[in-house]
Amino acid sequence: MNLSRSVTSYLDALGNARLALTAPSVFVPFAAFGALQCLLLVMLAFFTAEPIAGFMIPAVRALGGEPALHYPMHFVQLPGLYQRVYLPLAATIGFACWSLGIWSMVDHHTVGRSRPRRPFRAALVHVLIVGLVFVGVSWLLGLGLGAVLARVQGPAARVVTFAGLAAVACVQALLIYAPVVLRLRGGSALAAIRSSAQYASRRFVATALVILTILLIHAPVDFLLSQSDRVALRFHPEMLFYLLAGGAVLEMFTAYLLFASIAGLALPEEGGMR
Amino acid sequence: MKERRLLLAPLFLLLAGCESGKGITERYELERRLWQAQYFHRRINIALMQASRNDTRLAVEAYRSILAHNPLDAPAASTWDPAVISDMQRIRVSTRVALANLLFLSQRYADAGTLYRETVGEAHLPLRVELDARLGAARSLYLAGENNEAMEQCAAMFREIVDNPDFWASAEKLDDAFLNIPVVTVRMYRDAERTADYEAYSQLAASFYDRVATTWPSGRMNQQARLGRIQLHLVRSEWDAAAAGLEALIASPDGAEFAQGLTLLLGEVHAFSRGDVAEARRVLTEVATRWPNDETAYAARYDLAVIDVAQGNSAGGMAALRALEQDNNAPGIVAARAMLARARELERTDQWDEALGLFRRVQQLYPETTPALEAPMLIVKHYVEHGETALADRALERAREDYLKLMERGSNFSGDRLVVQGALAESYVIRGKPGEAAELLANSQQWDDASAAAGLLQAAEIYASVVRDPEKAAAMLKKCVERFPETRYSRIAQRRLAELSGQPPARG
Repeated sequence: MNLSRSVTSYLDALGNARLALTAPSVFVPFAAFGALQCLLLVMLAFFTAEPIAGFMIPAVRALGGEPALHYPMHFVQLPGLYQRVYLPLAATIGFACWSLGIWSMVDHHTVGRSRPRRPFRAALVHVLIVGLVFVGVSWLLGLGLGAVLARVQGPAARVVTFAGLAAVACVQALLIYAPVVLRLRGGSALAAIRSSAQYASRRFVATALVILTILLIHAPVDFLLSQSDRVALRFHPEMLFYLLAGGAVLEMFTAYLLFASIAGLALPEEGGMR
Repeated sequence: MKERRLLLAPLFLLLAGCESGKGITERYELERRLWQAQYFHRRINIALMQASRNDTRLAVEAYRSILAHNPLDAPAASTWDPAVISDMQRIRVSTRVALANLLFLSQRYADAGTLYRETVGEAHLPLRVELDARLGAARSLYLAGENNEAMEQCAAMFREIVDNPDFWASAEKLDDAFLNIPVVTVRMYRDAERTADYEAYSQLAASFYDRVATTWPSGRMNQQARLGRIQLHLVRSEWDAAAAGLEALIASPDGAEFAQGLTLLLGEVHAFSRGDVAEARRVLTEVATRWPNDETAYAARYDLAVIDVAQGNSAGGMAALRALEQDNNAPGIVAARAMLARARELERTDQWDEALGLFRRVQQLYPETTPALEAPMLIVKHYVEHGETALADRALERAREDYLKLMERGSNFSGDRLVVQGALAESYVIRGKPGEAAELLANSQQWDDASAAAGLLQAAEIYASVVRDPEKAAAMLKKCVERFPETRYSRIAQRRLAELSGQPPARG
């Protein structure tokens, strides 16, 4: 496939996000996970509030140690603190919600309607396994990238960052079709991952561009959160909460955009339309 | 059923881990409010003047709101984690100190002093924190005109250091400033003419410095203790002991750092306090030859020239003074002093025209130095002493113009305006017009607040002591209290008013 076709596919895929305008219900699972993230963030940020202090103080202490119970260190640590909760949450509930979104998108597509309906609950275990692999591999790549970045400086660090970002995009591209496969073909998590990799290899450039787009949309917020101490000192410690909450809301839309685009890439091919 | 139990398990674990956390919540809230106050406090330094004024108010209010409510007063506080309680006490102390610092910077010295004192009284503090608070209290109270209170704080600081085992065990490292506190205390008692305290604290200070020097036989502490002991001798006018102390310190390795300054001081003690001219010449010559390019060498050369003039070697002394004036490397203040000294010698030997030229040149070349400020006054004095009233009046008019130009609010003069004010008043008194001087000082619309307040005090003093008009003096003092309330000047005026009305002077 030449580059112009890949770019056209990529733009068509993004265009599939318009589905939410005609069928808003496809957005509901993404909104639900976004709301859950915001709720968690509020609980972590305002852990001393009267009704929740009893169980949130031990929780915050367990997550961030004694310094996390002090102001303003608590807000400086909040991105790291939230990350510890977010990763397992995204791998399980998050991936389940997003996959549910895929189920809904497939149900609204011509190809999906022509296929037998598969109950989501039956595929949940496999969805969770895929989610754990998806988030786990991304997390491990992030850890490796951090370790390398700690040893290099200057322009080399920039090269490593972009290379790392590309590597994450590639690996995620290989796994991202798994929920669509589970919905359309059923089967096990392993089979879904294998089929996902085959899908991705056929439409690799378009898939990687979609994922890269999502990563780039998040880059400014991620950068600001990586400078949490400076943000707290320069502005206000609470600003980190607003950034994180903004990031969660943004993720609600970008996750929808990602999975809608992936469905937009996979479904026509699955239906023999391409 | 089994699945439901499994779902409930995390809830049970959560409930089992619950704690009241009231102390932690209160501490967190205290920290949050302190951060908010510090945020305004930090902004004061970077904001523009108008915004800054608002930030000062906001910061003061924020600090005050923290202090207004003490969570440790709650009955449940006794059950809180001791670490949390200790943190909260520390936060309250930090808040008090920060607020006191802010009030001090806003020139609300009385309020700042009170807060510093309350800080010391509220909790058992580490030595360093306590001394910082007491030093803040002493500075604030002094500037608020509460001299006695300031002295008490210095004395308390001194006792804290002496009695603190951590200090003697080297567990607490103190700034050099704190080792000066004993001698500062003695000097303050001397100036306040509190003889019994002066004697008692002199003895305490001497034994303190000796103990420090014995405890730390070498190094910075030893050096500071020996310097403190020398200063104590100087304060007590024990010139022989001071000279011996200086010689010993200069000869020791610890004195090498300040050898030039200490040797110059030794020479000046021999010259102007002990009257040992020969020894003074030897020491001052050593300074001038050993460190020829140092500022102390120029000061030593000036001292040697003045000694020559005083000892009758006028020609030699005048030549040395002229050489200093013409030396481009000589510091301005030394050159100005040399010029003034030569002018005065010329005046003494009836060479007035040349002397007058020199007086005017000092003013032109070094307008901000003390000799330049003295020059107009000395010219008036000369004409008055020689009965040349018309010239004296003209000189006085010119002196008035010169001094008032320096005193104006927008003037670039960076020296001490009180010295200028003193010279202005003195010129009028010398000319025999103290009433005019008082009028001038009392109606100073163009001066800054500190100069205006000091002017009213000085006017009152002239009315009271020279013109002998206690009513006008009292009027000046009342005006000072009304115009500059809650300032050091107001406090001094109140005390003087009490003295004038025959009441016992208030403490401070």
